[in-house]
Amino acid sequence: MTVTTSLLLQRFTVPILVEVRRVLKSNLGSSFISKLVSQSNSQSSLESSSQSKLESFTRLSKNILLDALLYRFSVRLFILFLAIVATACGLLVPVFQRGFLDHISAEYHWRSVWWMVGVFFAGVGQQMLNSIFRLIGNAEGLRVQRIISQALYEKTIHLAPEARGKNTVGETVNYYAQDVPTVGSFVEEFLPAVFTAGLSMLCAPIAVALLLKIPMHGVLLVTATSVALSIWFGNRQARFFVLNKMNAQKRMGVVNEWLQNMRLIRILGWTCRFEEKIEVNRRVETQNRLAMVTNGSTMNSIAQVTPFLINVAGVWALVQEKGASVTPGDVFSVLWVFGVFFMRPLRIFPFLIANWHDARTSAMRLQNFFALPQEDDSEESYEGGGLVASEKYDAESVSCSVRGLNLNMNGKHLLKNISVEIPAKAFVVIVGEVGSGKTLLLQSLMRTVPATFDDYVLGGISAQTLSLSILRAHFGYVSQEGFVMSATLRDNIALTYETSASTDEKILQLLTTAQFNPQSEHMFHGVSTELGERGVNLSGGQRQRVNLARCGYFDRPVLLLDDCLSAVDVETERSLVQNLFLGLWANKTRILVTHRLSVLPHADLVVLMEEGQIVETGKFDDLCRTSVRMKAFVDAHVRKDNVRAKDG
Amino acid sequence: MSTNAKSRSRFLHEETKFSGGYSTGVVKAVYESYQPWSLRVTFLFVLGFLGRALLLFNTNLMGFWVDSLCRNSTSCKPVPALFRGFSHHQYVNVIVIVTALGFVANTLFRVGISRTGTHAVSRFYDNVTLRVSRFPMSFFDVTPIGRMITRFGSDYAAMFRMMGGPMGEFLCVVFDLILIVMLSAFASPWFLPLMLISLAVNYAVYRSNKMRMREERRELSRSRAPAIAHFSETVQGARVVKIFGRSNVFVTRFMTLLEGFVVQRFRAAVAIQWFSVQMTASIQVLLVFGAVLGLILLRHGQISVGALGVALTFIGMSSNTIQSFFDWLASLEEALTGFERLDEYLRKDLEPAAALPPTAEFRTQHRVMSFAEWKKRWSHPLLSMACAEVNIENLTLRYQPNLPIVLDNVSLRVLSGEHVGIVGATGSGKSTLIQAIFKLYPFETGKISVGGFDVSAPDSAEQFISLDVYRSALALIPQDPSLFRGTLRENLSISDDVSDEELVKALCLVGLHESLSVATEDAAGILKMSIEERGVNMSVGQRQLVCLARCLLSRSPVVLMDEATSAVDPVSEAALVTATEKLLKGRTRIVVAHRLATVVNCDRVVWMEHGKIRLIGSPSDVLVQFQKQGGAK
Repeated sequence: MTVTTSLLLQRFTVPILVEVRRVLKSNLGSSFISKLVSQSNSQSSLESSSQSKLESFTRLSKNILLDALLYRFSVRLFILFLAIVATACGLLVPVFQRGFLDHISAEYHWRSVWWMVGVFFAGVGQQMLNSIFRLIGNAEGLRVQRIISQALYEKTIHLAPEARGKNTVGETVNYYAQDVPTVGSFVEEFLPAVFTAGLSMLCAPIAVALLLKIPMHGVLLVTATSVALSIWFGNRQARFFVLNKMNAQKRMGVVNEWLQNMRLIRILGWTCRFEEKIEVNRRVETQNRLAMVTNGSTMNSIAQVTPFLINVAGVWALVQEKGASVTPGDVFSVLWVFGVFFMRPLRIFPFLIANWHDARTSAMRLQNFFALPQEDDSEESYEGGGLVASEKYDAESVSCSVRGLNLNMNGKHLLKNISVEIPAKAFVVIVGEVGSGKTLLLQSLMRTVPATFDDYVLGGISAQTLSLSILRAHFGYVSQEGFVMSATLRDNIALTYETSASTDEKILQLLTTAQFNPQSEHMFHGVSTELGERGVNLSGGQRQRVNLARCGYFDRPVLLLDDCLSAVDVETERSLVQNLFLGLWANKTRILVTHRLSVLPHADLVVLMEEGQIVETGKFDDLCRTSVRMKAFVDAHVRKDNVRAKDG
Repeated sequence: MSTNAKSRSRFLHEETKFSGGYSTGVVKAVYESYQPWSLRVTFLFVLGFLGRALLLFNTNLMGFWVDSLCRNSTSCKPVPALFRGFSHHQYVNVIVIVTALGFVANTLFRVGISRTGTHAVSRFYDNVTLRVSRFPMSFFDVTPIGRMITRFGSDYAAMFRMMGGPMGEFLCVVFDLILIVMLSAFASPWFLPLMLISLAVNYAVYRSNKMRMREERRELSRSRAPAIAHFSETVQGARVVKIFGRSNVFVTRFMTLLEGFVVQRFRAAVAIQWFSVQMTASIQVLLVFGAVLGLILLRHGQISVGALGVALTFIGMSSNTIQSFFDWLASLEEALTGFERLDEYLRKDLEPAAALPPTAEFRTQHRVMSFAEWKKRWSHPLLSMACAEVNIENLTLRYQPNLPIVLDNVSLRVLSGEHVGIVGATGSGKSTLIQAIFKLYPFETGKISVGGFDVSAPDSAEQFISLDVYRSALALIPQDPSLFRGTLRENLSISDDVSDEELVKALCLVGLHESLSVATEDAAGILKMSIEERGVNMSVGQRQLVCLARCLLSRSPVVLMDEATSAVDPVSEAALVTATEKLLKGRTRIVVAHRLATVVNCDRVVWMEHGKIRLIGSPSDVLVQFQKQGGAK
């Protein structure tokens, strides 16, 4: 019987051992990993089923955590199955060990070694199965993490205009950097832990009853007390945990600001103040942390001492039940059973509770973010950038006509009943004081702010009937601050990654027209120069010119240029106006927001804005003659500005 | 494309890469972090060891109890005299008492060690902050912000976590291991060699896995940053990405970066699980050997069944213990990676002339100010001057040693109260000159003094001035003004001594209340106005006005302006020009201008070209020459 059991075990474990070995060996070439995690995922992300999964996780889901746990339910069941087998293997260990001890004193002394061989295979088998289902759990957690990350990323891009600005950059990044991994690792750890711990704890009384036939009151009492204490401490721990996260986030907010503005802080001589600010936050964090480790350590200590008490209770029950007929084997198998079934589960129980709380708060945060409204522009048919658009629009340039534009945001009426006609190929300059709504007008045209229109016609088509992506494909855009990403100069112009060098000629040409010569701007690797995170190495003027070159690369029919001359010098400004605005882009509809009067004489149409309204439109010369407002505006300017531009 | 990929991968791998062992610096750093509490730690160690011993002695007590059960069997050994004749009740009582004592000692130990660890890590963190605050500016130019954030964020969190609860856990495991060897030897010395072999085998298994696990973990923490950085970039540039219809390109990019992290994460998990399997297998083999050995000994009457049981229990237990020992060791190493990385910051050189505040601890090569020096630094004579001379002598500067010269032997003496304009084409070095005056970059040659004071003078000399005082004697209205998150008040003044009235007065003087359309009498309310990250809820012009107000309040004798009038709307501009003319009169002013109108009223104009001064003279002279050349171009 002994021999057959071990042989049976051998028959099952050895092939698995071989298989796992093979798999683990080959994974060094990472084929296994890519098979398990990446390949299947990247394939499935293209499949519609996965897309719908993405939906259900995010837009439709009321409970991300539950969805994440139930996602790929069959795999979860498989994990459960492996966990049961592993637990069964674990159960065999004390059976065999008891057999060994009981047979020692009997005649067939040497044969009892076979029992130990059984112990060996059962132990190793349990560990292997454990490892396997842990890895599967790991892959599952990563899969969930991947799906939520993607959904989160897409959400941040497609966030509806009215929802923008509700979260700071730091908060949004934290969703990705902290909350998603928390949910992912919960899936990763929770299932295996619940299965092993839960199963063990459920099986233990049965095992004890079957093997030893002793009453369990004492043992159950100790266990129940310990579990109750665990829950109490675990709940407290979870609260500390949430606080800790908040504190850390607060501190990191200051640290972020400190690191990003190091130059400014030094210039101001405010170094000490920031150090103090960080330390104050750090102190608050440490205080909570101290309470947290105190609570946690006590909780752990209780969890650790419980098995010893359970042992005593168990052995006591055994002695009570069997009296003098107790064998040493009985005693040790009691200890073993409790060791296997209670030690680990009781130890991890408090952590499970804390983890659960933690994952729940993270999931809630994510859900709130996902619940924000989103733009409806699923079809990005103009992904090809300028090429498709230019083919379509180059022949007939695009005019733009707006009637009854209104914009309300956060209870403020920011743009009031704006109407403007912009002919095709016109060069329009919008001027006005800060806060008069110039930028918002541009944003409204691109519909990146929630403006309403009585009528909005773009190139003869009603813009309200166009999908957002087609509408936007009409526009080239340069923002006030200028967007620069961490990639090469070349990538930044083409706004894509790993751009092929074949477009270098075009890119260099565009850069030259935008008055940006990589060599004289200290870009020694030419268009291959890495611009660094957020373009930190670029000055304001450099950023603006890079953005102008990008705008040229896309070759769209209508260009929206938001104050893109603010940081360039006079000389550069003149070249830009001559070579770019009035030169290369002469055939495009151009709308420029600026504070530079020197541009105004070149404009086909000047628009003056005040407090969210257009107060004047017309040719600059005419306006100067007829409009009191324009005169006042120009006078305020001209007094300081040199009038040179007028002659030019 | 391939060069592109190559350069990127090189970029990513510049992150401190560790191979092989940890430097002794880490041990030193950990030791120094705990130093103020060394006595307490020693006491806790003793307590902890005792606690574990009491708990583990349980097993031996069980052994005696078992032996007492089979007094008539030959394979049982007589129990020690102390326990002879114990009833079952007495056994239970003794065990419960021993367990309770063990519990108390264990709890005290764990709580104590985790609290001490928390304090120690915090102390370490504070000291790293003090140093990073004073790193050379060039460090921030070349280090991606995400990498620094990782160190203060997740690296610190890992240290915090590890030195809290897990440190106690780890030490408990260490005590357990020692005790297991001792106690199993106590049950029967015959098993001692087996235990030692067991430890040796496990160590060998650990050794063979260590490198790979370590490498995987480090690779993991490296692979995390790029996706986070990309995410943060996208959040800020989402609008541009959408207009140009590049959402899919960006999603693909993000997924590629994420993929790198996910795959690495799984690789790390595989490495750890494979290690666990190896450990278990080796322990189980030893268990079989132990059983065989036990049988032989039993046959020769050398040990009792009780002792064999105890020994097997200990070996079995050691399987768990050794495994968790190495598990914790691995996590500890991860935390040590954090220590090592922050330690690197702790010991990096500071910018020239920088000194740490007297609160700085840890023995590093940096100069630390004395308390006396620290206290009296704000009463430096320069700060009470109305205006001061700026003297630049033979200044040559480059941003990095491998980059070309940006300022080439520049000498310029700006007299007290003088108003000097600087003109020149982009890249001529005007903005660099401003940075140089603030001493943000080390000079290759030359020096700059303000009011005769120089940060590089010897400490004891009369001309000496500390770097932060020197900088606060200079005010800047920058080209791209950035504000801090917080209230407007916090952005205006560092000290709480300045009254609201003074602040409001400054705001009204610069005309910010007009720009924000707030009536003069309500101006006090805008002090509470909350400013978002980088001041994005204000226009560039308004931000410049805030800087000007700040500059008025600081009363610094020298004011520098970088393209001050470039981005402001007419109203703000009018306010700014009036304010600068009126309010800053009398202070020494250096203005970098892009618009010549700005410098027409200067006392002197400096024309810079290719990092050199081409011409200095009256505005009329220089501007005519400058325009002539500009026109020819």
